[in-house]
Amino acid sequence: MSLFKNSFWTVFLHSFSKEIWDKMWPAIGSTFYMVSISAIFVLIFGTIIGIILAATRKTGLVPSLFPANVVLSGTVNILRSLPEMIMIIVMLPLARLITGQSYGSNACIIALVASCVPMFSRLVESILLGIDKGKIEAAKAMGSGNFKILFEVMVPETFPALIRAYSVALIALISMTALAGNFGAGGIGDLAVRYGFSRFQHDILFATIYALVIMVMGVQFIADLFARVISKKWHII
Amino acid sequence: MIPTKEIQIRIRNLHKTFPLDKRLLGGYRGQLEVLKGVDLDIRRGEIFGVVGFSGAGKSTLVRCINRLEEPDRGTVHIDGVDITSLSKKNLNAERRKIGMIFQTFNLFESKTVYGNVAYALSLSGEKLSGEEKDRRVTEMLELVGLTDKRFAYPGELSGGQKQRVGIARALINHPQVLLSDEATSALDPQTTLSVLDLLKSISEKLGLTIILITHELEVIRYACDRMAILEEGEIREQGSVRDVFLNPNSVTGKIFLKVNANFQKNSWFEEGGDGI
Repeated sequence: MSLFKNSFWTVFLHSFSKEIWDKMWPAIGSTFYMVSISAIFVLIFGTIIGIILAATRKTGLVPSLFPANVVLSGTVNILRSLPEMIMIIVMLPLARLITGQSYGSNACIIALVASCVPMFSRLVESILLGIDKGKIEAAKAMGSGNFKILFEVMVPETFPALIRAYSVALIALISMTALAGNFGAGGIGDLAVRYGFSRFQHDILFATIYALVIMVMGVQFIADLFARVISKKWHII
Repeated sequence: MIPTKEIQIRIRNLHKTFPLDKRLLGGYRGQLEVLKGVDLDIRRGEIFGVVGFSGAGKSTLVRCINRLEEPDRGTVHIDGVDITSLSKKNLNAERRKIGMIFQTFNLFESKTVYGNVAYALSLSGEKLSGEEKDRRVTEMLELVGLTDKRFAYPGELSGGQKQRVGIARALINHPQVLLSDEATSALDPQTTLSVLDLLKSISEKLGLTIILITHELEVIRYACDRMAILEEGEIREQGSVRDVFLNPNSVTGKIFLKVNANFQKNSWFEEGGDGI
């Protein structure tokens, strides 16, 4: 149903019809699949790279590894300067190498991860750098090694902020996934472009908007809830 | 334990310079000499006070003792071990024998009172069973009077209670020396006294040497056996609290004493004053 032929109200009502949602559910499932697999990789690699970035600074815990920081930081900057659309195209050969095909959900996950890991690692880095220096000094004065300071002081102390940063990364992933739909990845973005844009089926376009809004709000709500519950428990809010 | 004459901490010719680079802001490049050859002898079991105005180098001095700051020149010997020449690994082992408490407490907010103390204990390097750990932490919390707060988070505690956790955390590995970097400066007078009482009783009970950095003369007078006055990076006076108080020679010492005397002389209540 198009807005050109029908009234807004009719299109709006039709966007809830079974006909539309029969198309939507598989797309939502595919988006969910891509986001959740990428999210796991982003969490693992982003945290590790973020910790290395924070620890190897000149004023960090292991300044002797500063060359590693230069290399890593440069790589992150290069990857961050590629927009998601270009990243997908650039990653096509790599995707073919790893998954055997250059289209589809799995191929797309590689580009999603390559885009989102650098972003999340910068967020992790800036949060770890923001920790109260006194706490690190206290740990040092007790005779803690660097590893213990990183994983038993810095990461736990900044945990609520890390959860919030992860929610930002997850939401970025959802929007990137919608874009990836344009490149043969399927999912909600694919529906919106194929039906909503190319065929003027605005009822489907509406439905994709509902799905995306609900997904993003859900992520934000859960992350806020977690962060708030922990902060409350520690009595820091 | 009554302080003996035996010297435990020997600081010789300690220099520390911080580079200043303000060229980016249209300024200059230079150096800030914070410690200019400090010599100090601190006896086993005493509470040693270091006073001075802001910027005199008190904090830098105490942070050079456990090498939170690396001194440029000079030596620090504790029980014959030269702290300044230790390797990173040995330094960590040595740091466990030097407790430290801070003005801002620096507790771990993500850990309970118990967790904070247990974290410090976990660094001891000894293999302790769960029950043994529990016993040691409980004992320490008893010593500082926080038994009922063991599962509270630092966010729930008052300033004085936080500093008690800091003390428990600093003492759990049985250090021989405790460094106190303005530990009572953020506390109200009554809490200050109770924390000082705690430090005094612990020093007596465990034979602990305490170095107290402060800008409050009252703290020195109340708690310390001997003191030194630090001024512009140099030790200007050193001796028993009584001697320095009765006959101050340095500028800092005279100002401190003058402020103190004026306080007592100009008391509102005695002169009738304006009333409040």
